[in-house]
Amino acid sequence: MTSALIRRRRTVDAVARGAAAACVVLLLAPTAIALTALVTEGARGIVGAGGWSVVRACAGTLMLAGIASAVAIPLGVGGGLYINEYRGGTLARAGRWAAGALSEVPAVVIGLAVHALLVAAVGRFSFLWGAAALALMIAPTMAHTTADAARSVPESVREAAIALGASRWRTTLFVVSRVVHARVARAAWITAARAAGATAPLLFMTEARDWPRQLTSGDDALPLQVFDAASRPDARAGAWAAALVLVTVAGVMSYFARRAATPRGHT
Amino acid sequence: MTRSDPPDETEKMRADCLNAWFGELHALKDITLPVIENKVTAVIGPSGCGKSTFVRCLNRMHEVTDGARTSGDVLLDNRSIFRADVDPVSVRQRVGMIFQRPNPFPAMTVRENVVAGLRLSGADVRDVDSVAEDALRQVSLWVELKERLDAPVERLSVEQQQRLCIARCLALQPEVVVMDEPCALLDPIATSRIEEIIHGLRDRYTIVIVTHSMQQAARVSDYTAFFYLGELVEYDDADVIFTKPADSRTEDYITGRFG
Ligand SMILES: Nc1ncnc2c1ncn2[C@@H]1O[C@H](COP(=O)(O)OP(=O)(O)OP(=O)(O)O)[C@@H](O)[C@H]1O
Ligand SMILES: [Mg+2]
Repeated sequence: MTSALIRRRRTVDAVARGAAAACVVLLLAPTAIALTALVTEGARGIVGAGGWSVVRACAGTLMLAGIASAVAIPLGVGGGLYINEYRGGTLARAGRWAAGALSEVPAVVIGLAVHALLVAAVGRFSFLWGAAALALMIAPTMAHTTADAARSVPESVREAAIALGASRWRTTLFVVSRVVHARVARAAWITAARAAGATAPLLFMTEARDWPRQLTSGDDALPLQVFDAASRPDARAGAWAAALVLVTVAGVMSYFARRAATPRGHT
Repeated sequence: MTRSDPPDETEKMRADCLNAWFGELHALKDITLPVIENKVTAVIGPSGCGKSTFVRCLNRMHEVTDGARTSGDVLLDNRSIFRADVDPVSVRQRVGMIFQRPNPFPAMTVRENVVAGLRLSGADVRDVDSVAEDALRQVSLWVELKERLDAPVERLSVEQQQRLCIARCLALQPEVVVMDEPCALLDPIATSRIEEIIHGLRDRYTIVIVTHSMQQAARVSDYTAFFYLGELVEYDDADVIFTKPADSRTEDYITGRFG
């Protein structure tokens, strides 16, 4: 190789690396600005409103997302395992189709549908209907992710289990689920965090705001609070406070997601 | 197939007019073959002749493939394994299987892998640790790995993984162990270690081994069966097959004229 060629390669390398670094800076800058504003304004809002209001706001969101996750994550994971392990069957194919279709539907449409079907028809218990809307966002995503993860388990591993005398469902339960565990746990945290921050499916459920107040003397779901308060100039401080709490909650959850992604023994 | 069995030989298994299909493909044709207890039976033949299909019939793994079916019979201790009241799970526990590519369970430790068969079959075993130790000792892995029982299985070498798979199979205390080209991915040193293990296992188990290597068949087997195009061409004492085979096709194969 001539030294001219080596020099050219070095130049190209330096330019490419510089350009990539610039992209990262451009990406980081708005994030940093937004975070700074969020922390300073949010802290001021929280101090103004008193710490107790933050606790109440958290309670509403965590309860909504918590109820939705508790129902939808096991359902999604179980469904996803079934979809992959029993593929070929009609039920599995229908399940794959439904999970795919539902996870493509915009959240606002899910909210509208739940509103039309449940809230309009039954009327009461709307807090639970809010959780139902979130669950409808979580379950298909989890099913999709789980089925994907299970598909990446080599067939030879299942064959080994069968040759040891395992039934199909034991193979799924003890071997396949072990392999997909980390990926699925990570997805569960991320999906739950996203649901906690989702506004769109809850927009129609104004009643969703009364229930936690009655039960816990808490407040609205956080995303709704942000959405509402942001549109009223007098309530901006509250919006900032709610947003800060929301981002913190999401941050904590994504920490758990990252921890879940590290399998045992692989430190 | 004219040899008369010496009296000390018991038939552990027997294929009786066994046929196997993959959909329309007739992969095994009228195979009749004994498997002698506490001996090593080697199955040799060119690629695609049905060796894997044959051994997968011995523990009912053939039927796991979509569209696969069999006719004829396979006897284990003189009883058909295909009878309606026989649970394939119990057949697979009595006739264990080792595959060409080591297939330890990912995301499990060494220890969990060794005892996985017990957990998977729902067996109620009290002293899991001593079962694991016994199985690992039989494949000479105990000394090597006793300090690393809780290490992820991915950290083992391919050869250690293959021995671990053998240990996982032995932990279920099978009567027959079927090996489908267990050394195909291993270097000569690792291969000879596995062969030593096979020698040692003969006292406790009946072994059927598929191999592409004539030398390996000659080294490890007591009896050898030569398959060609789905048929059993010749079965005899290994030294007869490798010194004076009766069929010219066997001779062509072992002298490397085809295959
Ligand atoms: N899952 C399958 N579906 C359809 N046909 C198959 C399948 N597995 C094997 N066959 C066919 O059955 C015949 C016997 O295959 P088998 O795997 O038993 O041969 P083999 O002697 O083990 O070959 P090799 O030495 O390459 O392992 C071949 O013609 C093969 O193409
Ligand atoms: Mg084969």
